[in-house]
Amino acid sequence: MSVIIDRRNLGTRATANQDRLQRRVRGRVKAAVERLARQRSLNDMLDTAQPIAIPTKDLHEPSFRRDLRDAAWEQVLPGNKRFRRGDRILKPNENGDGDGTAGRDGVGAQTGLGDDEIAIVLSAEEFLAVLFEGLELPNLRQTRTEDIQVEQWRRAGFVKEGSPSRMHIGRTMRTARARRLALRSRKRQELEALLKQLAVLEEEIRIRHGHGEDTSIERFRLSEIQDEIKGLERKIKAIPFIDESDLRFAHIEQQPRPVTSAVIFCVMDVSGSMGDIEKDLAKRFFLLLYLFIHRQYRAVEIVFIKHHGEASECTEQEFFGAKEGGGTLVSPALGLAEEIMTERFPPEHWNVYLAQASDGDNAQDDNHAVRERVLGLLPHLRNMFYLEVNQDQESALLRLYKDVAGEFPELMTARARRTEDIYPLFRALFAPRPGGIHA
Amino acid sequence: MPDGKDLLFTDNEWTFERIATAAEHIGEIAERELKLDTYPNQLEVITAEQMLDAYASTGLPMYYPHWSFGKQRAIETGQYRRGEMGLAYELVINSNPCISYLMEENTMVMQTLVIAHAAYGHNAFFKNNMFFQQWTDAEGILDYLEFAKSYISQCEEQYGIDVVSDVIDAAHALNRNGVDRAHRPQKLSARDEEQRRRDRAAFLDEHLSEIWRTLPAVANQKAPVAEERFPADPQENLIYFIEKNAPNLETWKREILRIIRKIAQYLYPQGQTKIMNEGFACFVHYHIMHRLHEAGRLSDGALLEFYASHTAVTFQPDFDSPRYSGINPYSLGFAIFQDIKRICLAPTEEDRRWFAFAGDPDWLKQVHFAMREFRDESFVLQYLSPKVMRDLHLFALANDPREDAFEVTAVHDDSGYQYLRTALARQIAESARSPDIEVVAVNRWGDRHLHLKKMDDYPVDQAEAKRTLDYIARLWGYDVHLDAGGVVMISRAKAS
Repeated sequence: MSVIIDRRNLGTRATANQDRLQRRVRGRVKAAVERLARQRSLNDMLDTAQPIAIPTKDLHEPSFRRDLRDAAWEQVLPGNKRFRRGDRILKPNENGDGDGTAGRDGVGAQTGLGDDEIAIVLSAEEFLAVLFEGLELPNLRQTRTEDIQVEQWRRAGFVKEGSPSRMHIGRTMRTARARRLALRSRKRQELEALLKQLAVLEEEIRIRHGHGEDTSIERFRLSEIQDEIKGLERKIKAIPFIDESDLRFAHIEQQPRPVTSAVIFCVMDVSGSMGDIEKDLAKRFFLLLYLFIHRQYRAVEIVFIKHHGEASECTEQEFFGAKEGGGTLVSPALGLAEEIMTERFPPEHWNVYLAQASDGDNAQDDNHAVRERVLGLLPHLRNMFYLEVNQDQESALLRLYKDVAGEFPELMTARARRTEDIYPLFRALFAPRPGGIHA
Repeated sequence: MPDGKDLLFTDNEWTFERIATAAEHIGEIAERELKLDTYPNQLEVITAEQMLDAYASTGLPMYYPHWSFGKQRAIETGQYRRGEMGLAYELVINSNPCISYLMEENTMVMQTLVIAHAAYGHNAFFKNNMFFQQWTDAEGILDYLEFAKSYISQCEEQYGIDVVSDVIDAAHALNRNGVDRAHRPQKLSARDEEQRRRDRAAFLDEHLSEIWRTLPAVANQKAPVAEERFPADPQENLIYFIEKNAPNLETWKREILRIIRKIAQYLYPQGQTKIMNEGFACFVHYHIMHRLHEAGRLSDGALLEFYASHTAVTFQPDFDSPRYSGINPYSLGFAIFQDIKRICLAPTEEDRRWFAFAGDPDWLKQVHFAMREFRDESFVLQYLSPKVMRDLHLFALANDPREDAFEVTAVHDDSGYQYLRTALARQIAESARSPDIEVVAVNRWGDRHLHLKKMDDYPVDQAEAKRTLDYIARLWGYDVHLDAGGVVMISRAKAS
C-alpha cells in the first residue's frame, strides 16, 4: 500500500543555500555592483534586477582526481562499425577539436574546470543594499535620536459625539440593532405571557358561559389584559429604528509622529566653465546621493537650483542640460535655497540636505557672502555636501568650505576628476566615521 | 481482446485517485509476479522547482545548507531554463519508507512508469542488494539527516556561518576519500548518534591531548624509537583519520567531519551500483508496463508513449555520435537484465558455453540472484554476454601517450569477448574510484606533519591535489605532504 503526499505547496528549500552562495561570493558581487555603479547610469541600473555572472572557478571545489591526459589508458566504447583488432587510429590534432571520443570521457574529463559561469540575480533592493553596504548618513544617528516630530491626526476608536460628517454608519447600525433586540425581547416575552393568560381566560369564560355561571370578574380581567397588550404593542412599535444614543462617530486625535520625509537641494554651477564631463560627474554624485538618502526616508523631494551670475530653481532636464554664460556667484544660489527652505520645507518638518557641485569658480569678492550664507544655513541642515569637479588645485571656495567644516562637521567636501572617482569618493564620504571626512 | 473497461485511465491527466489505483495494480504485479520485496512506498508529488532542489542536494530530501548546493542549483537552474537539460522524471530515496518523487508536470503514463521504475524497481534494489544492505541504513537515514542538519545549524549559530562553511568545504574536498572500502559501517540512528556524540566529545576532550603529549612525564624516559610508526598501517579513510587524530581540531569540527563522512558512506553504494540499479529498475518497469497493457489496464496509446520514454532513457549513442557521453548505465544494465531472462528462457549454444544457468526455467530466481549479490564491476564480469557485446558493438581502445595513434585492442568477436568483458569491468571499477591516497605516517614527536602517499599508479591532477592538500592542512593544523609518485607536494599549515 502506497502513501501519496502532495508536497507541492511546501515551496522551494533553496533559500538557505542561495544565501550562503551569495555570502560566499559577496566579494565578487560587491565588485560587480561597484563596477556597474561606476559605469552605468544609475537610473538604468536600478530599473531591472541585475544578473551578475560569477565564474564557477571562483566556486571550484577541489578534490583528489586522476589526470589521464598523459597517461596510458584503455576504454571500452560502444558503436564499432569497421574496426578490427590491431587497427590504429590517428589521434586528433592537439588543437583540432577532435571527435571528442577517446580520453575525454572517462575519468579524465572530470578534471576540466570549465569556464562556465553561474548567474546570481539581485533584486533592485538587494542591489542597493550591496551598493550602500556599510555606509551611513553621518548625521543619521542624530536624526534618529532627536527626530523631528510633527503633530498628525490619527484615528483613535469611536465616540458617541461628533460631527455628522464623521458618523460611522456601520458602528451606528450595529449599536441600533443591539438596542432594538434588547428592548424588544423583554417586551415580547411579556407580550407572549399576556397572550397566554388571555387564551386561558377566554377558555374559562367560554366554559363558565356554557355552564351559565357568572363571568363578570373574568370579563373585567379580560379587558384589563387587552389594554395591557395594546400598551405593550404600542411600546414595541415605538422602539425607534435609530436612537440618538446609537450614533457613533469615528474619533481622531492629534499624535506626534517622526518626520520621515526629506528634501535635497541640488545646487550646481552651470556657467561656461562647467563642461559635459564636469556635469556628468555632478550628475552621478547627485543621483547616488538621492538613492542613498531615499533609502533612509519614506519620501524624498529634490529641488534643483542652477546658478551662474544669478540663481534660479529649475527642472531636472534644465538642471543637467543648461549651459549659460556670465560670471559665477555662489551666494545667490545659497540664498535661494534658504528662501525655498523657509517657504516650502521648514526644517522643523523636513530633513533638509544640500548638495552642491561646482568647479570652484567663484567671484573673489563673493566668498565673504558665501561664508555668511553657509553659516546661516548649516544649523538647519542635516548635512551639506560640496563636490568640486575637475580642478587641479583646491579653489578658494573649497578652502573656505573646509575652514567652515572645522566647526560644522555636517559640511562635507570632496574633489573628483573622473567618472570612476565618484563612487569610491561617495563611499569614502559615507563610511561610518565620526565627523565624516574631508577630502 | 480487452474492451477498454479495465483501463486505468483514458485521458492522460494524473489525479491522486488515479495514482493510487495505478500504484495498487503495479504493486500487485510487482509483488505477485516479480516477487519483489520492497520497503513501504511513499509517493510525493513535487514541482519542477522542488525537483531542482532535490538535484542540488544529491537527491536527499533534506540536507545541511551549504553554498556548494546553491551553486549546483544555480548551474542546473540555468541549464534547465535554457532548455539544455530535462529533469529526470523521478527521484527516489533509499529510505524506509521509500520516498519517490513524482513531478507534477508528468503525464499519467509517466507517473505510472515512475511508480513502476522507482517505487518498485529501485525500492526493491535498495532493500535487497547486498551492497546496500551492508553499507546503508534505510531505517535511520531520514532521522540522521535531520540530526545532521540541526547540528550544523547549531554550529552556525554558535561559531558563525563562515567558519562552519570552511570546515564543510574541507570535508567535501575529501568526500571521495572518506569511505572505508574494506569495512562495513555502523548503522545510523539519530538518537544513538546524539548519545555517542556526547560521549565522544567528553572522551576526546579528556584523552586526545594524551596522545599528543610531548613533554616526557618521567625525566629519564627515552625518546621513542624511530621504527614506531603511527599509524601502524596506511589508512585510506582520510576524513576518519583526521577526525580521530588531528592534534588541535575543535570537537564540533570533528563532529562535522563525522557527519559528512557518514553521509558519504551512505551515498557510496549508489556510485558502485549505477548500472545494476538503473538496469534493474528498467527491467521491472518494462515487465510491469507490459503486463498492465496485456491485462487491458493501459491503452495502446499509453503503451506507445511509454515506449518513447523507455527507448529515450535506454538509448546508447555510438562513440562517434555527438550525443555520446560514455556508456549509458540504463542501457547497459537493462540489456544485461533482459539478457539474463533470455538466457534462461531461450538459450543458444553460445549461452550454454558461457553461463552455467543457461536454460534454468526459473528466470526470476536468476534475476533476483543477480540483483542481490553483485555490484557493477562484478555484475559486468559475471553477466555481460557475447550477445549484449554484439548488440552494443563494443570495442576496446588503448592509448599510449608516446604513440601518435590509438590502438584497437579488442572487438566483439570470439577472440575479443573475454577481453572486452574484463576491460569494461575494470573501467567501471576505476571510474567509480578516486585516487588511492592514504595516510602513511604522522610525525608524532617532531613537527607533527602528516605524510600522505598515493598508492595507485595513475597520475593525480596536481593543481587539484595542491588545493585539496591545503584543505587538509587547515584541518590537520600542521604541515601536510603528499608523495604522489615522483612528485612531492607540501602544504604548510598557516600559523594561527
